Amino acid sequence: MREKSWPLSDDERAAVATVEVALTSMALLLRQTELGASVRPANVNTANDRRSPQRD
Amino acid sequence: MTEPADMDIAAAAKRLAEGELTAVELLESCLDRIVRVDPQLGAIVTLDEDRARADARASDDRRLAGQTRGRLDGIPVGIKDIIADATLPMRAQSRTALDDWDGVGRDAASTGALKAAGAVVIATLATMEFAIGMPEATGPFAVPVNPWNPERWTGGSSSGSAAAVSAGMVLGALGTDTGGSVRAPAAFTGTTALKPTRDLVDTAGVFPLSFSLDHVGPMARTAEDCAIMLEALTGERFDLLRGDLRGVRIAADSLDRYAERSDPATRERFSDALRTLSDAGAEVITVHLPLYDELSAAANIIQLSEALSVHRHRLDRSWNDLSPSARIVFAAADSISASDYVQAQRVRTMAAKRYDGVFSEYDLVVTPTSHLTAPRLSDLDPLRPLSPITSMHTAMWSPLGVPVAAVPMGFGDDQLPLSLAIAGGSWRDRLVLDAGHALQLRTPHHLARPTLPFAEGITS
Repeated sequence: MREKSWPLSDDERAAVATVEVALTSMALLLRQTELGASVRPANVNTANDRRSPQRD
Repeated sequence: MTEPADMDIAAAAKRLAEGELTAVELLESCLDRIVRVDPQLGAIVTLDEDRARADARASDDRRLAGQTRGRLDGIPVGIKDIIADATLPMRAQSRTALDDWDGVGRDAASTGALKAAGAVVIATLATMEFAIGMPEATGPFAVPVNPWNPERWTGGSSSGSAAAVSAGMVLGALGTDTGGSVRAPAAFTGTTALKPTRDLVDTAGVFPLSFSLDHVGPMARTAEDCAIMLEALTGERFDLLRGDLRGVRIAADSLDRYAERSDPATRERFSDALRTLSDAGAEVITVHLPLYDELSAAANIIQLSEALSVHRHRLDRSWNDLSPSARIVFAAADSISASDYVQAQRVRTMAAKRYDGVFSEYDLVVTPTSHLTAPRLSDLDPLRPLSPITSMHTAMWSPLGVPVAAVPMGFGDDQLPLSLAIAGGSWRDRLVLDAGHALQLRTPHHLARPTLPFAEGITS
């Protein structure tokens, strides 16, 4: 766990480390996901702009 | 005789239209229910009875004048305590001050839309701190308990919204959903909710959790009620549900990811629900859902990164005022790198294209909303803030932005509600609700009501 800017109790520090392990595992899975270099990040504000406007 | 507070929105609207019930009578029934059960349930944050009574009288006056605004006119509703109201204070369940947020003191777009449709907004409803912490038993806010069992959690983070609807304190409520926060509490309380297509319902005036994942959604007793609320929230027609699924192809989750960990009844209730959808005319095909783990991981990485961005200045200023679980989540989120966040957004792009293919082959995809019933409150540990999400199958849909409904599908062996998740392609919200409606036309699960108040001596 890298040094935090904010004060944590020992219990909280241990809990943070546990959550960080889970997040690191998720990040590793995503890093290993085959994408191809041309895949761009989803646009935060227009997640559905490219979708069909069909409503049903 | 059924009390007005026990009716669903469609039934109450019919009685209002036929002159068999007034908005004031309906409101008083809900207020009476709140007095009798909320001391045990802890769903209400702020209640404004005077304003609610004035709004109900105004609704009755409009009706007498032939100027009613539709089926939501005169219906008592509540809003989650991170959705702004012009006069009800918003606390976001936090001890920290929110006066730096520009949404304070005016209606959120969704609050305003409900009011414009004549709904009587009577209260703000409990959540967890900034919709990201854990229930905090020692904090200044009540922790909502499950109306079906006071030892169980309602789910979160739209906890009070679900409890209030389930208990008949309101007929409908607004929740927000970033990783499952209308769907999980609806599942655990036997109510119905919709996470709409992203951007279908305006999130302006909602205190942000995750800019690219936040949704506002209706919570009510039935899919039809959610459609009535969605119509008011969007100005579009969603009230034409048929309950006829002929020609609809449904992909059913193979359940192979969590077979050993599920409530034994989940698989049976899920199979029952599939048969019912088939009886309604749908073609149901079992599939293995692609990219489940990748989408769930992307949802968590994106949500926590964006939440830390929203709150970083608050952490520096108000660290000691935050709940322990919020501190833990934010501190851990600081470990996520910029490149991991961007990679999560790239995986999201790839997965969205993949699921465009899934939704071109199938009209709907169904899974259990959770493979377990509501967890025990005593099992929730603020030092393990991610633990409640492990039984829920909600996060994977959030990065896709597609509509997903949570619909009751029966009860577990512990007599607590189980729920079916119904997902559709973007902008197919009405079809998603129509499938829920088809289920509810043919099953009684949504009609079950918890026995309230609890026995003497049990309080939240």
